[in-house]
Amino acid sequence: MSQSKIYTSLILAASLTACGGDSSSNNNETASFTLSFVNNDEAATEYALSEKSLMEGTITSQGAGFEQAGWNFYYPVGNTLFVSGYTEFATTSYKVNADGSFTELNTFLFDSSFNTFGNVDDKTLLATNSYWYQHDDMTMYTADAATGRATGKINYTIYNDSTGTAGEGTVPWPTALVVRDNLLYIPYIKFDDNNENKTTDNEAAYVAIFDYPLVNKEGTDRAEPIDIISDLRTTNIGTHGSTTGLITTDNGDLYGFSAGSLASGHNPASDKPSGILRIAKGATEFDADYFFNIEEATNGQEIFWFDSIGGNKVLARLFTPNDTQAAWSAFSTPILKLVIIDLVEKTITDIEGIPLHTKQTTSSIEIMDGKVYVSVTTAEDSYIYQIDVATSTAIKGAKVEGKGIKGFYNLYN
Amino acid sequence: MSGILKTMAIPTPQTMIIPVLFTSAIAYAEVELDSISINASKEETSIEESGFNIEVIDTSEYLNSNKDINQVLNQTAGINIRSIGGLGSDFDLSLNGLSDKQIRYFIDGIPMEDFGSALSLNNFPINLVEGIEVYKGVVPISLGADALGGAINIVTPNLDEDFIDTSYSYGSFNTHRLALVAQTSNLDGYFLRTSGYLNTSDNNYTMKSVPVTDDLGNVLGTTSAERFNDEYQSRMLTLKAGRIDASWADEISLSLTYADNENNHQHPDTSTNIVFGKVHSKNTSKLISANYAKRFEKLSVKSYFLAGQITETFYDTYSRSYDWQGSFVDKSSPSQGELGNRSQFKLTDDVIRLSIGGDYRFNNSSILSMNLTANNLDRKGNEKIDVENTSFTHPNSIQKSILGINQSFFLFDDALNINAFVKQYDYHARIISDQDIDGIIQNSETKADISNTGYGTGLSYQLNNSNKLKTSYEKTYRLPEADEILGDGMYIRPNPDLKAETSHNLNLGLISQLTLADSSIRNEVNVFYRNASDFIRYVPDQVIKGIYKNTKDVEVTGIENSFSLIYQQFFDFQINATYQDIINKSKTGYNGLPDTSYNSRIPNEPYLFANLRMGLTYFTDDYHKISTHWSSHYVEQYFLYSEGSGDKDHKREIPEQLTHDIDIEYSIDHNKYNIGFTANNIFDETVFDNYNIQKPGRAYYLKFRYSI
Repeated sequence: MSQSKIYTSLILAASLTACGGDSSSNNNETASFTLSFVNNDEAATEYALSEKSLMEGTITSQGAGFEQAGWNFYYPVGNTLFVSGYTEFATTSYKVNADGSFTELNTFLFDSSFNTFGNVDDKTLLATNSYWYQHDDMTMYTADAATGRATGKINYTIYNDSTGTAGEGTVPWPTALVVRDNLLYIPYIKFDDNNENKTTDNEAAYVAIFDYPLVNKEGTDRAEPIDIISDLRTTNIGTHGSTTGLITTDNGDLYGFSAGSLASGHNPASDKPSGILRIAKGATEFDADYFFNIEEATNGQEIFWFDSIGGNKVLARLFTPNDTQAAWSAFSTPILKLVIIDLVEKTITDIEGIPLHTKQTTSSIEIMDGKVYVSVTTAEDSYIYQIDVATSTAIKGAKVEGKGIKGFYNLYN
Repeated sequence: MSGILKTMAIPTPQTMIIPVLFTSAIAYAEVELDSISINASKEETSIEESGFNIEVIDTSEYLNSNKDINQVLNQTAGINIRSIGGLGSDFDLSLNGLSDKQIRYFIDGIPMEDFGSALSLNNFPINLVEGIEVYKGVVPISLGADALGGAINIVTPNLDEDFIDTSYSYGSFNTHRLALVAQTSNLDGYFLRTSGYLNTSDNNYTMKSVPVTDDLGNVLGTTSAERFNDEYQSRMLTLKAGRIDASWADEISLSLTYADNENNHQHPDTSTNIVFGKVHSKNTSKLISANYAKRFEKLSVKSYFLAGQITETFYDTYSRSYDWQGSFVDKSSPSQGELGNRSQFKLTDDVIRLSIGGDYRFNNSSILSMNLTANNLDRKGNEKIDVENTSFTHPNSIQKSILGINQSFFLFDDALNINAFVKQYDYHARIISDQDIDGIIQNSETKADISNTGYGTGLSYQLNNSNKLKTSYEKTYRLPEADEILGDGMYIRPNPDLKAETSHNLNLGLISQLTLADSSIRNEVNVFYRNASDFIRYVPDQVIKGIYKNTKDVEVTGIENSFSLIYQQFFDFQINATYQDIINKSKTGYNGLPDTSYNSRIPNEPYLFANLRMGLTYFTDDYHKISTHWSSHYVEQYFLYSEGSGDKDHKREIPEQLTHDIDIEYSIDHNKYNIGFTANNIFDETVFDNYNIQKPGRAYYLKFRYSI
């Protein structure tokens, strides 16, 4: 997905300098950003919002934005934004017309909600469902970013170690979908199969590797991995609800992060340290020479989320696990801090000035003119921060009059 | 609700369709009581004239039309009923701005909560009941209920009458409704009553806009389609027998009720994007009750005891994907049903209810009343297919008791009536479950106790011959349901700190009546105010597991007016309208951040609605009668989500509704033989009560009724 994030367009720079002013305006012709905005009302209503500026005033859905139904994942592919609804059983796509207006493209329906997304070359969306404890085949959808239409679906399985006795086997939960060199890499968390949401098989990292495009294994009606690689240096890759457990850097290396504590949804907590593994360009095995032990480097902290921001760098959220944290509490309590990690140099740089905050899911991030925007929600308020990728510094931007923003998208170039 | 909530994928109270099993707080039992204790010794005073804001609906004018209790209630000022489909479908009744569990239902004074969906009000053909009492916001102690927003009491005929009333109707969507109530009291002081109904409908009305997709689910357009998995059937039979007018009892009786239903579901309650071909639910209710009433010279006492078992079972057992044409493909994932995991989930409730109450009349102007109601509910869940779903596997139970004391005064030749009352609510809840406490499964017991004291007053004053002023107030409570406070042992965590919902309810009304030689005019205007807080809402705070919290405050200010005119028994005209401003008063959400919709209108709630009914009645002679009525129902457009949020062109709205019905009735031999023709929604308007969930279009019914 890194391809979709690299935006160095002069057009964007021009449009950024050309506008400003009233940030709550919905004048599409001069808007530059699309936001998945969440009201802090009972329904937590979501809006796809067009904004000219993110750095001043307030961001609000008052009178503006395309209303969405229920709870949704947002995933950009090229200049198309896919919105996948949990209660509507639908993925609706949006794009910006030549005249600058934000419009709906198409909708496709499904009967099992998507949980994980990926993309291929800014042209194709990948989306998969997953099951908490059922030994069923999952379904991988592909959709065309140009039309917003589903172009294929195929059943596949990763790791179906049913023993026939509930609780003895595990069920995979994909945490990223990454295509590189005609191979699809799917890291996953393993949950127990007796519906206790336990991560009992948590002493290794796993990535399933498929031929891409997926094809049915001969004589069956599902695709199966050509290989499942594992590594005992850390635990399962990714966190629940994230879609960037594994990312590609500019030079084609793959990096996956592992968390592993109760607060990040791993139950029981893993004995293995939170860390980052690499699958080097051209390789289909974990790089035995690379492991970035985050707990060691940070005196006990853990990665909750990361995403690529160009070069060898990722933007990451870390927190300090402790015994008083309840299971899954990192998803709803303000304990997260933002850092920039250089994966090759193995350095972690705190981004100063951003308070500890909470974040449940984050859309894959886009770099816009060298900047990344993040939504930072504390117990008291919610603000946008602009992070300069080169300098690892942040500027506080507009106040968010809502629960937060799931993602920031550039659909204008 | 969090999209990565595990509970979305399995039948728990948070999934879209299962609320069928959980929200049917409405039910039925057949036990007689004197209607309202505060008036028991003042029979000349109708309950309407007490200070409470009560609307008494006389069902006699609807007996020959094909209506159920809900359809009659929906024409009443202050009430709006939203349904998701045809006969037997889920509904939500709102009374002066409060709704759902906040309204309690009774039959002859016995609480119907947890009685099951086969006994909900939309099952009752109107000719089984004599009247419907609607208590708006302030509820007398005799009903012994934790009703936050009011109560609805169904009144059946007196026990000392002899009658048979039976009817059969047939109409659109292959709808059959059979109703019978018969009673004899000429048995040497004994009486016997039997009543029952049988309702069936295919509900195969046409959906005018459903998605057309290709094999991959791409929406290519919309089309119309007939509903094909929406059949409903319900049955009820009650037998009641006992002694009346003995020296030692005005009534002592025993009553047995059996009811069941089977309800096919066409789609989830909130979306028509997925379609079901086999999903259904079943309910059975078995109730037994006994009661006793006796009026002595100054003292009258009454009491009932009821026990019952209610089961609701939800079936999603086929691993299939259907489309709107009714064709299906097998899912490649055999554990998956049509909605979530393949499931056959049964909830069993055992209820025990008892009440004892009495009035003491000091003199003609002072009556003291007392009432104690106790209620025990044990709930247990059982999953047959998705064995890893262990919700409610361990039983949980609640006990609640409500003690009320009321003093009533009648002064100035009964022109002034004052009631003052106090209610004590006591509540105990208990669950034993295997709970995951930070990674360790522990068998733990959760207990919760709530104690609240409510109070209220009602005052009515006859200003002059034609005008009466009424005002009433109650500080009232709605106690938590078992799963709200105890959780389900699986996906909903217990919250022993949960409080009762509470509200200050205030009414002010003026009734004006003018009776002329050949006509009578009546107007009633009510202003209502509700200041309600601590609404119990589900909070998905831990991804997999959520919890119920007191998170929402609401203020309702409204006005309703009803006007009626009757001219010479020949022409009748009624019109009513309700406007209510339901405002969110929660400054912060459960996460502590400012609530975006603070001080704005609560979305997805009707705020302006009106009804019109007018008719002509011709008596060709003493023997024959023909009448015809026109009814109109109007609901103003409202938004699904916060009104101010979002671009106006891209907001989801529930469009304005305006529908018209016609009833034509022909009666022979003093209403002994009756034929009624009903045409609902005569202009076939496409109407919705819920976003994108279409209700039936035009429908015709023919009803035959025999009554002596």
